[in-house]
Amino acid sequence: MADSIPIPVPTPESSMAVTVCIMAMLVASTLIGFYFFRRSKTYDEWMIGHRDMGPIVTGLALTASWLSGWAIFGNAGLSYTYGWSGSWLIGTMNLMGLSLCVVMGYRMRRYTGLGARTVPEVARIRFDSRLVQALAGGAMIILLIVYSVGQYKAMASVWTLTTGTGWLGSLVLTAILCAVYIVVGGYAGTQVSLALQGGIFMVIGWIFGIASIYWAGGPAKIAEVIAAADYVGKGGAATTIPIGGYTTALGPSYAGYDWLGVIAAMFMFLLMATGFPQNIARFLGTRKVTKKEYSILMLLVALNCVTPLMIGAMGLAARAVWGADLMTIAPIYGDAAASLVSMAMGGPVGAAIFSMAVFSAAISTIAGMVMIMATNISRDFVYNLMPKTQPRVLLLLARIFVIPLIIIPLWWTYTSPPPVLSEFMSGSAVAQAGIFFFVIAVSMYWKRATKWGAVAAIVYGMAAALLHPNVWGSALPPFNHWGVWALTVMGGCALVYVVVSLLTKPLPNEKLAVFFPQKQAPAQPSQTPVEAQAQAQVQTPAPAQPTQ
Amino acid sequence: MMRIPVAVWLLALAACFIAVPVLAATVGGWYAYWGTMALSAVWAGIMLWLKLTRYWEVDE
Repeated sequence: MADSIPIPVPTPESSMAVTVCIMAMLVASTLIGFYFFRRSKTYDEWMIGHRDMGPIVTGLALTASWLSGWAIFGNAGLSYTYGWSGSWLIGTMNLMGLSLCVVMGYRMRRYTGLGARTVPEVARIRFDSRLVQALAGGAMIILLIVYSVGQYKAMASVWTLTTGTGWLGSLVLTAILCAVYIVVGGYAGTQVSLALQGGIFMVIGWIFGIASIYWAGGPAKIAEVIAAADYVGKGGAATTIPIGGYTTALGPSYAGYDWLGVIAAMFMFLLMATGFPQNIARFLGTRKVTKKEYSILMLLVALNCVTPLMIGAMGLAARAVWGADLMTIAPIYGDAAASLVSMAMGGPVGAAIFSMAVFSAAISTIAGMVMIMATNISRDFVYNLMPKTQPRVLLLLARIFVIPLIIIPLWWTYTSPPPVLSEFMSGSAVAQAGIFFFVIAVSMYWKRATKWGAVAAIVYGMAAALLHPNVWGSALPPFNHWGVWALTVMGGCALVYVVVSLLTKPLPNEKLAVFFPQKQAPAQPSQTPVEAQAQAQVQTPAPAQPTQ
Repeated sequence: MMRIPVAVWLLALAACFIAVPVLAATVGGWYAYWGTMALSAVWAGIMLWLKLTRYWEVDE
C-alpha cells in the first residue's frame, strides 16, 4: 500500500548514481561548448553566434531558460505544501505566457539585423538612447542575480537530499563547468547546451510526473487526500486551514491567499515569460524560419510547458503518500517532495535521473542569465561608455565577467539561502515581468513608445519592487498583500510606460520607419517587375545607424 | 469561407484567460489543474494561428 512507503534516505549507491548522471550532463554540455569554441572567435560571434539556430534548438533552449529550478524542483514543494492553491505559483497556465513570448520575441531578429547584440541594446536602438540601454542593463543584473540564487537553492537541495553530502564543493564544481561552457562556447554553445538540457528535463519530467500519480494510488486517491488535508507549517506546526481549494487563507503575503492574489499570479505568468531577458534573448541568434518551422517551435514549447504541471503532480503524490511528514525535514521542508518521490519510485537510478533533470533546469536558467549579465557589463556598460574599445578586449572582458557572475549568487545562496524557493523567486519575476515586458517587448510593436516612457517604467518598477510583502511592504499596508503588491508593480509599470510615452515626443518618423516598415503592397497588374521592385525599395528604407 | 475577424480571436483569448479562475472556483481538483493546461493549449493555438495567418512578417 502506498501509505506504508517509507521516506527514502540517501545511500552510497544513490550518491554515486546522482554524481555520475549529473557529471555526464555537465560534461556533455561542456563538450558542446568546446565544439562551438572555434565558431565563437569574435565578440559578435560569441554574443549571438551566426544567427543560424533552427526551430528545434530555439524552442528547447527557450523552454530551458524559462523553466528553472522553480519549475522542476520548487513546484513539487508548492503543491505539497499548499495543495491545489499552490497551482497559481506552479504556473499551470505558463503556456499562455510562453506562447506570447514566442509570438512577440521573434521580432528580436529584426533588431539583431539592425546591430543589436544584447537585450538592452534592442532598447538603445529602438529609442536611440544609451540611457535606456544602461538603465535596462543595470536593472537586469540586479534582478537576475536575485533569480540566480533560487537556482542554486534548487541544486543544493537536490544534491543534499540524494547524496547526503555537503553541497558547497559540488556546487562550486558545477558552477565552474557551467562557466567553462559559457566562456568557450558563447551564445551558440550555450544555446545548444540549453536545448540539450531542455530536452532532458522535458522527457524526465513527463515520465516521473505521470508515474508518480499512479505510484500514489491514482488521481482519485490523491484528490481525496488533498481535499481532506490541512496546511502544516515548517517544522510540522499543524493548523486547521484546509488546502483542498484553489485559495488558502494563510496570510496576505501568500499569492494563493485570495482571488486578488490569484489574478496577480496569472498576470505575472502572462507577462514574465516575455519579460525575462534570458528568454527573449533566445531569439537573438535564431535564423529566419518558415511557417512550418515556426509551428514546430510552438509545439515544442507547448509540450515542455506541461512539464511544470507534472512536477506539481509529484508534490501532490508525495502529500498523498507521506502526509505532511516532509514539513519536519529542515531546511528543505516541502521542497524535498519531488526528489524523495523520485527516490521512492526508482531507487538510486530514479534519484539520479531526476536529479539530472533538476540540475539541467537550474543550470540552463543560470547559463542563460549569466550570458545576459556578462554581455550587459561588456556591451551595455563598457562599450556604451567607451565605444572605441576593441572587440577582442570586450570579448575578453565578457568571458572574465562570467566567473564572478556565476560565483556571486552561489555565495549568496551558501551564506543566506532563501527559506521558500518559489516565493523568493516570484519577487524578482514580478519586477522583470512589469519592467521588461513593456520596455523591450511592447516597444518593438508600439510606435508611440518613447525613451522617457521606458526610463519611467524601469525606475518605477525597481522602486515598487522594494515594496514586496517580505521587504518594506510588511510595514506598509496594503503592500503586505502579495496580490496588491504584484498588481501595483506590473500595472504601475504599464501605466507609467504608456502615460509618460504619450506625454513625451517619440522618435521622428524617418527613424521609426526602420523599425516599423510598411507592409509591401502587392504589385499592381499594370506594374512591370522593375516598377514593383522600385516601389518596394521606397517602402522599406535602409537601416539607419543609431546616434552614438 | 468567411474570414473570422481578429477581434473575435482576441475575445477567445480573453475567454481562455478568464475561464482559468472560474474553472478553479467552480470545478476545482484535477479538472481545474489539467483544464487550465487545456485552456492554455487553446490560447497557444490561437496565438499561433493569428501569427501565421494575420501577422506573419516576411522581413522577420
